[in-house]
Formats: sequence, C-alpha cells, structure tokens
Amino acid sequence: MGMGKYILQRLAFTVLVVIGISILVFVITHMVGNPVDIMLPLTATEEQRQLLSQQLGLDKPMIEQLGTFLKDAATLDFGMSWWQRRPCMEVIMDDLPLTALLIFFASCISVIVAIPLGIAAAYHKGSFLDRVLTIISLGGICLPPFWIGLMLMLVFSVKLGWLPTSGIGTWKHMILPALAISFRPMGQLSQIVRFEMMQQLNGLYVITARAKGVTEMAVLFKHALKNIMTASITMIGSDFTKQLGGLSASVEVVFGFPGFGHLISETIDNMDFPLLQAEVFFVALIVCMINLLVDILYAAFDPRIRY
Amino acid sequence: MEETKTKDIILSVKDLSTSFFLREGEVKAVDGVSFSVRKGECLALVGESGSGKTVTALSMLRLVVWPPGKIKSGEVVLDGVSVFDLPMKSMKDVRGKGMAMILQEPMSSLNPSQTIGQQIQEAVEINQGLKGEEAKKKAIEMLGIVRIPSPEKRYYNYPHELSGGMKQRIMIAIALSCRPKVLIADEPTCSLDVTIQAQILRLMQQLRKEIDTTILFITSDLGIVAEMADRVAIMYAGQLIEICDVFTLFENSAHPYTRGIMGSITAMKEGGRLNIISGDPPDLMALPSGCKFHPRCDYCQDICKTEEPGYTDLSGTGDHWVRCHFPLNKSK
Repeated sequence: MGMGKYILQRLAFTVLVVIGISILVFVITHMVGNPVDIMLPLTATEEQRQLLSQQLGLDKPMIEQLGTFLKDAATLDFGMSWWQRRPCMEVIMDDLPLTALLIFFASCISVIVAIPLGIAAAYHKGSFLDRVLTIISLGGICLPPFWIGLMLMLVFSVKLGWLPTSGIGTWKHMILPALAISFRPMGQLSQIVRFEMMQQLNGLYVITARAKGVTEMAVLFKHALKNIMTASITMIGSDFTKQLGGLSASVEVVFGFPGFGHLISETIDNMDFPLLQAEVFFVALIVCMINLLVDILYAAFDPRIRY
Repeated sequence: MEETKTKDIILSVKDLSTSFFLREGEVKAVDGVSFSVRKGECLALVGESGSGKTVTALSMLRLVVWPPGKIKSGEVVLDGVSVFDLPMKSMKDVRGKGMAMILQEPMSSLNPSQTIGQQIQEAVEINQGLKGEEAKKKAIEMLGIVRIPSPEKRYYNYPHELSGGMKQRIMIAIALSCRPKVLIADEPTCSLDVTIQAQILRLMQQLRKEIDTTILFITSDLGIVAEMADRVAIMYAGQLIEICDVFTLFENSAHPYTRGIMGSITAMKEGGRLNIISGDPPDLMALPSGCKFHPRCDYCQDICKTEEPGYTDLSGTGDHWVRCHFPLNKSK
C-alpha cells in the first residue's frame, strides 16, 4: 500500500472518529442537565422557560436536534454560543490558536531539554549525573503544573521582575506559562529517551559502529538517535494532544492566559452546549491529525515501517 | 610465555585479564591471556562457548563496557602502539584502521535505520579519508568485492531487506573497508546455515589472498580451523592453554583438553563412537583450584588439583606452548 493511499484511508477514519465523538458529546451533554435552568434566573416563569427552550431548539426530539447539529457541523457552523452570544467558531478561533502556539512552544522547550538530558543520563547510566537527572525529571512529572507556574511567577516576575505575571500580548507573556506547561512532558520524555537510549547502546550495531572507528558523538547522534525517535515522537505527540485537550487549563488560569483550556472549563461551567460541542469537535480533529502525523513520521525514522 | 620470533609480529597481547563484576560475584571471562599474531598469518582462537574468545577480542579494542565489564590488566601492542596506554579519545584511530571486527550476529549487528551502503561508506570515510561521491563509489566497490549482486541497487537497501548470509557479507565489507592491520573475525559463520557458511568461508579465503591481511579468526569449529588457520590458540575457562601451528594441532597436540576436542573429530572419522570430554564446562564464578581443567581431565594428578601450571615450551623454538603439568606427547 502506498503512502498516499494510507493517508487517505486515515483521513476517512478521522471523519468517522470526529462524527462518533460529536454524537457522544451531544448525547452526554443533553443528559447531564437543562441549560435553561442555568441561563434564566430562579424567578423565571414556566412560560419564559418554555420560550427559551423553543428558541434554543431544545423542545424538539433529541434525534432531530442531533441531525441539525451534524448537518451544520459539516459546514463548520456550530451556531451561536449561548453564553458569549456570538458564533462558536469566532470564540474558538480567538482562543485555540493562542493555546496551540503556547503548547507548541512548551513542546519545543520540552524536546530541546529532554532529549539531550535523556541521552546524557543513558550514556552515563548509574552515575551521579544520571541520578540527579532522574530525580529532576521525576520532579517534573510529579509536581502540579499550576504550582510550578506560581513558583516561576514568584521568582521571575515578582522577585526579579524580568517577565510579566499575566496576560497576553508579547512573546514575553508566553515564556512562563510555556515553561510551566513544559515540565511534565519534559520529565516524561527524558525518561523515555533515557530508557530507549540505554537499550540502543546495548545493541550490537553500536559495537559494530565503534569497531569501525566511529566517535562516541557519532555513535549517539548519527547511529542511535534515529532509532529512539519512534518512541520519542509517540510521547511528544501524546503530550501535545493531552495538553490541548484541556490539561493546560490550570496553568492558563494561573497566568490569566485567555486560552483554550481556560475556555473549555468555563464552557462546562456555563453549560454552553453548542460551544462545548464545537470545542470537542476541534480537539478530536486535532488529536486525529497529530496521531496521523506521528504515524507518518514513524515511517520516516524507521525504514522497517511501510504503509 | 615469550615468543622468540619477534621481528614480524604485528599484534601482541600480554597477560590480558577481563572480568565482569555482577551482583553474584566476579566472572573472570579472560584470565591472563597472552599470544601474538605475525604479519599476514591467520591465527585461530578456539574454545567452547563461554571460554572467553569474544571478550578477548572486545578487550583488545577496549569495547568492553563498564559496568559490568572491566579490563583488569594486560598489554596489547599493535604495530608498536600500546593500545591500553592511549587515552579513550584516541581509540577511534586504533579501531577500524588498526583492528576491525566482524561480529558473530549478522542479524543484529547492523544499524536498522541506515542503509547498508551508508554503513559501509561510513567505514570508508573514516578510515580511507575519502569523502562524498568518491566514498560512495568505494562502498559500492566493496559490495562487489564481497560478491553482492547488483551493488549499485543494493547500496540503498536496509539491513532488514537482506538475508543473514548477505548481512554477514556486509559486515565483512564494513570490516574490510577499514583496511585494518588486523582483521578480527568473531565466529562469522556461526549463525548461518551450512551452505551459506561454506560460501562465507570461501569468500574470506579468497579475500585473504587478494588483500593479504592478518586475521584473528575466532571459532569453535575445528573444521574451519583446518581450512583457514596457520596457527591455533586454544582457550579454556578464560585461559589460553595451548598455542601451536595447525599441523601440530592435528598431529601432536599436547594438552589433554585439546586432545579431547580433537578426539571428538578423529573418532567420528574412523567411524567410532563420538569421544566426548566428560563433565561440564566450568562455572566461571567458581573456578576449580589448580589447573582449571583438572576436574574433567583423564590424566589428572594430585599436583593438578592444587597448583596452577605454567607454560611449557615443547618445541624449544617458542612455537608450541602448553599450559599443563603433564603435557602429552605423540606416543600417548
């Protein structure tokens, strides 16, 4: 099977996944509660409630509502946000790119730090350096990101005054939240890199390489690095999608960053069904795309994988 | 043990000891091994599996990884250069150009994510000083030399696209591309089936004639020894117990262990029952006292159990050494 055909097949699969997730979210949100109760004050009369239900289309049978939703979603029209009273697409397009950029930035930091550290720890396995690096990476995994965010803010914004505490606008506003988000993926990735690298360095092909006079640097970066990439990109991709799916919310709240994670949590608070559905739609779409990208990259790094 | 003919010796190993320090204790994989290789000859290093042949070769290239492996003592002199005195950084000059090694597992000894062409080309670039297109041409030429059909196409193949025999040819091509002073071949045929074994051996013999290289051939197959080697060094339990030329080995070997392994072939040739050495190979973590072979030896005396034998020069010219209190002679 050719690469092109494989990608088409996966894209078709993505459509199925997105439709499936959309239906699931639609059904669940319509079962958890009645948004009319939240949108209207307690003193509202029964007529007012029914009127609003009618306006929102909630009085129709669920199957009909679902049909309308799917039909509109196909044209990326998710209707008006009940809570913000403007088109859902507009709300999402305000926040999603910002958070995507933030998470991308965090992923870059985590990759740039974790891969060299993991390799160094593997190369000097059992040494003092290895232990220190392991402790640091475990710390990164265990400490809650919002706490890391607060500590960073305390040091770099309050004490040193180098960086702003909150808000958006310049690239300086991105640094601290991105750092705070990057700690957990950094810890996980460096552990994966360390483990994978240790396995590769035990490989016989490393002896072959050394026996022909290859330098240690070339053994690590020319020979072994490519062989740890499949495991590493799996981890990087999965961390990216997790953050995008709302994990970044706590850090966004700490830094007053008007991002997507923040938006998701507020959407749920406000029981804004159309907006929530739109958000889930986009998260599912992006997760599928990233997984597809990771799968395509596998083939680039490991010649034994062919689609 | 001193070799008398020193003038054309290209590689000498003296008193090499390498141990692996495991949680259960020290494994003396190589224990005081000394031998030398003359320029242009093929010395076979023979012994059962676990006798320390591979570790000897890896130690010579300082490829034993700590932890758990460590070279405890010894001296390796390659063409006048004392290898163990070099800083680790300079080892890259000894590896390849000095000594190149063919590993025994062709299946996993090549990098799975690089084309075989790249891997040969890398050896060419490092050791022959060629770059880019020139190095690539040379790599393709090497593929032809090890009899890979349509080398220009095969250059772009990955290891998983080749058979075991082909991969072993690639390993040979890589080692030869280093243009080593000494080529170490560590059981290059042990994981291949018999017809492919014969092909690889024939190839190595042809190449040996063509490029006139010095070979240290590690094997446990005496048939291969008869075909390939000029001289033979026999290892047992990490020690070198006998060293002689290949005719002496078949006609007049002196160590009871050597006789034992030779006996297992001659008996078969004469149609008799297979002679086997009684007992099991020794546990390297709990070696017997005295001579390491004494528990399995038919000629064992009291002194063998307590005192470790030294080397005896049987030929008087330094060509036949044996480590035994009571070396056998022809009449026995």
